[in-house]
Amino acid sequence: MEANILAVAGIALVAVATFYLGYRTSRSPSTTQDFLVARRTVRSRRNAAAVSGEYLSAASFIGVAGLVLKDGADALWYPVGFTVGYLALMLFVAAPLRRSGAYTLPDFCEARLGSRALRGLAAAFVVFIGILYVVPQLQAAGLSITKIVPGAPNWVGALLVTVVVIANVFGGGMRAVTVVQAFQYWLKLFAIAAPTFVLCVLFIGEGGRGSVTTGLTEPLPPTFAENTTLDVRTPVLLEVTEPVHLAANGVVDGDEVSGSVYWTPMSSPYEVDADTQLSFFAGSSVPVVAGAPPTNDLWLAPSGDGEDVFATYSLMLALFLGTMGLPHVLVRFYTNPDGRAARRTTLHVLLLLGVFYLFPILLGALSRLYVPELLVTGRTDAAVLELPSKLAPGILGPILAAVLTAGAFAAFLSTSSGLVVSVSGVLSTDVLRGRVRDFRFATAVAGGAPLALAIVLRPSDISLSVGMSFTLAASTFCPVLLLGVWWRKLTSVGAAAGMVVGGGLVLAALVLNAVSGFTGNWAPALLLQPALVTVPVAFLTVILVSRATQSKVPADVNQMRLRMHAPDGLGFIRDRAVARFGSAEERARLADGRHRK
Amino acid sequence: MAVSAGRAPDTAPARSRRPWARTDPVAVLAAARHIADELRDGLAGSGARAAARGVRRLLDVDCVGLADLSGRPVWAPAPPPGEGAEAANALVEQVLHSESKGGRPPLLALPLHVHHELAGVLVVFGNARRSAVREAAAWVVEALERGRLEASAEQAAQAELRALRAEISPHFVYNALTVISALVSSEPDRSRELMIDFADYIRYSLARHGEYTTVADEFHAIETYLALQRAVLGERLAVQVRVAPEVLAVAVPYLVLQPLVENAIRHGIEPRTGTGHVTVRGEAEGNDCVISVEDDGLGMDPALAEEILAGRGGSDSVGLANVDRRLRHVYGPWYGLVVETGPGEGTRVVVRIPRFQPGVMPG
Amino acid sequence: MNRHAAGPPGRDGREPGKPYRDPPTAPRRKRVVLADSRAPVTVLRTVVELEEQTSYGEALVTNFIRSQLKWSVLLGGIVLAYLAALPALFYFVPALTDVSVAGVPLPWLLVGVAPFPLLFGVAYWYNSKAERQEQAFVALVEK
Repeated sequence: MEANILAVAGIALVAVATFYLGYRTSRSPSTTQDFLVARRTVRSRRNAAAVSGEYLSAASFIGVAGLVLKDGADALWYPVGFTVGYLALMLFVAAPLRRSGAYTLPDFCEARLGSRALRGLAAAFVVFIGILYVVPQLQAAGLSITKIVPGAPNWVGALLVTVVVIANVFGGGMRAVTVVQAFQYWLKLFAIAAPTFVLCVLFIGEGGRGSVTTGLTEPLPPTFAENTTLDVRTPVLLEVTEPVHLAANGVVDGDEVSGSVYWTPMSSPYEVDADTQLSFFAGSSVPVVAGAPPTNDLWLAPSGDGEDVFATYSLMLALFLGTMGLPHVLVRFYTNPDGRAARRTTLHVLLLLGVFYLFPILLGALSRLYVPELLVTGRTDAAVLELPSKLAPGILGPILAAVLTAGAFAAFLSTSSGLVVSVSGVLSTDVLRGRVRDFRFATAVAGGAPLALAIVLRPSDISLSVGMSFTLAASTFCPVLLLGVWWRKLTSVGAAAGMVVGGGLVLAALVLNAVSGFTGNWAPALLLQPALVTVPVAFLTVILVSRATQSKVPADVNQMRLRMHAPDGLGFIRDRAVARFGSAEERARLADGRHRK
Repeated sequence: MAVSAGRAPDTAPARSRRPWARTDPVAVLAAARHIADELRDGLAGSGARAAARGVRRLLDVDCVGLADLSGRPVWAPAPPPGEGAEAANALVEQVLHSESKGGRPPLLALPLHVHHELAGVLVVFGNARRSAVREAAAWVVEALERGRLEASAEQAAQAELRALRAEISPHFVYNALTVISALVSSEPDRSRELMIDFADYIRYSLARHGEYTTVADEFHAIETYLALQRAVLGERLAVQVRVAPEVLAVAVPYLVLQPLVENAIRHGIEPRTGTGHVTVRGEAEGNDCVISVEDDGLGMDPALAEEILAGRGGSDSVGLANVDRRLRHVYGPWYGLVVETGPGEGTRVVVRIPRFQPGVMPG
Repeated sequence: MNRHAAGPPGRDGREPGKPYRDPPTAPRRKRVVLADSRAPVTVLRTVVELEEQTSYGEALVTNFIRSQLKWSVLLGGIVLAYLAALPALFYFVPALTDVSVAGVPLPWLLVGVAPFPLLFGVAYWYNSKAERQEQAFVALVEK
């Protein structure tokens, strides 16, 4: 496989377009009319596109399809959960949070509970969650680069994204970011929808490819469509359900092998070490990484295993409640003029996300048929990028791959820059004390730290590691936000205790997971997806400790509640422009008058 | 009196109990500062008990009470119930009426005169030298006086802030009305539009509900202002206004931008011939909102700009200094104006505002 | 110049690509800030005086907040009930997984497709409900 020049060009184009748009919108000369137009048109719809653009990350663009390829029906909870998070946000926090005037999560803690110490704690968690969320984006970028430029080391993509993001911030491209992020949403939607349509048409045109591969409903593993040679880069544990002949060159089950081998279900699973080459023949069944459903009928059905059901519930909880605590989500809501607009924006976001997520699901299902070899290497996140070259003939394959890669890069860039900007904002205000206010230094730190981590840490499934950020957010910020908005008796001590307990439990699970990853994968499902325990514990801690420290209820709690919940029309926080400036029609007419000139 | 329960009378060992002789000066100073801090809100404030505790530690006596004019002392710790407490309360009443010190060791009460006016009573239970108690009372009085000064300084600052609110320049009103009247016969439609702009602008400048507004409204006010100025100056003024939607909702004090624009036009554009450009820009930068007003006019000597910002620039340039003061009042000393200028180089004034500041809400 | 002036770099150097206001001599501009930052400045955090309604109806407001919360919980509960029932349903009635509609297995439809319109529908409902409640409250208060 040679380098896909088109894909490289696509990435370059996305980077340049992002930079140019940001630069243009914040720098270029314009007339006074533009301002009035901007003032009237920054409405919920564009804002929603910006929110979605920033939110659709690597996990959404390539991670979901990869998990669908591997886990089938159980992976569907990811796109659903990513979306439900916004419903929770809308139902419980969007409007009150906007009315509170807070720009970041630490701001909200300070505004509601009036505690500088709590603010510091919240800032620490924002930085941590932000970095945890950027790491998989960078790792995904590394993966994508290795797919289009074979032989490139993993860190190239991570470095590329970091450099583009930091350069963009330094160049002033993030100063007027709504337009850029809105553009990124439409870019991503196009980049995933158009190839999906083409691939589906090709798939149907081929008559479903039933002759070569296993049908998706059969109780058999997927099969290779053609002779395939694979390089295993990271050690994997493979499960075999049908006997398979293959040629192996490297280390299997601890023994040096070279030449033809025969794998049977009896002695499965097989442990394949890094840098082993496996060659399969067309029509032979595909060994699957341990833990994933090995046969197609199991893949198609939701898991019937009790532990998996628990994991599903835990995942649901984390995704439903985690979105509201992500650092880059709240920041974008600040652009809404008032609480009502914040609610409307979320409504549009739900529509935009719903439309988007149908496509990765389709791509994931298609890749089960066409790129089952990814199940062997475990790099299922590459499904979206590999599918076109297998399914589309001739030059069409690379073109579609280029479009998808460009879209994936848009995802890495937009989410990473959103997160880097919010994290560095918090760093420069709350951590770099003494009003140094060196935003650039903070940006370099906020971009550099995840880069180092992305290179050092072992890549795992993108959606899984992103899931961990959601769990952390759901166990720290969600209780504080929900109770802060709706519960009068919340105290800063209770909030801090909840954040420490919830966050501490998740971190402990993270550490134990990492340890288990190096010592034989003994971690139970609870540790892999701990939200079902950590979130209720965090809520309980906040409530109990708050009840015990009622003397610390802030004195202005009633005013704050009024401000958060009173309808915008009452003017506790209100764009009083209408009262002050005459009616809206009058203003519109005035603006038109200026246009006439 | 039976209050000194088991304490030896003022004899030799008591001498060594003299607080200042024995105690480490750092501890004394710390205790004094603590007392002063706690008394910031006055004798009726929440810190009175902690202050009494501090005085007790300083004097090393059994109990100390601080009473305001209501005559009910706040004790640290509570005096032994019964006769002792009654005697103390009676003594407080007596001192409040006589306004002079009363009692005998071990129960002493001193009136506290703040700014020559009776404010309360200090009651001390236990063996302490009269001079020490007197000094302690003097210190409490000092602390109370300081608290009052601080409160009035705060009020003065509030009042100053209100006084600093920008005013509409009469110069501008005169020019605008003249231009509009000149246009009435030749371009009635345009003059009508300008009249509405003018009314709009005046309404915004005069009718203020709260202290703060939003960047969006500030920019809109600038818009109307610039529309009028363009009518006055015609082709000589070219304007660009550019604002990122992210910052439209940021809360700012009323009319902080208009004086900057007015300044740019008056000092940068009006004195020169040919077209002058004014650029107003609002952008997000991290957690801050940065607004800049730039002209390519005459500029000024940086030293002069410094004088102006320090409020020594003469009467026709108070606008900048006012805005500077108000921003610092609201957001803290690091958020003052930044002026970039040089003779003949034009001027750029930069306002930096945090997007979130506790207590700053448009209303 | 004090550190205040040290602000973000790039303020003094003028960015490239600036339009017409970029005379070659521009860097000669000097930056001025009020250097005398020792001048006493009290930070005023004036909490904006809330209007009369604060005292007017504590109970009124609490009532309103409760009714808003009631709707949020109700609508959130509907969605949660639907979604949370699915894994249990598939676990206890595995036969469902063999049913397929138009070639697509039922679980995929129920989990992968159906929630999105449901979410949007519920959100739309909530949005109009919340706005109507707010209007009613405003009418009540401003009467």
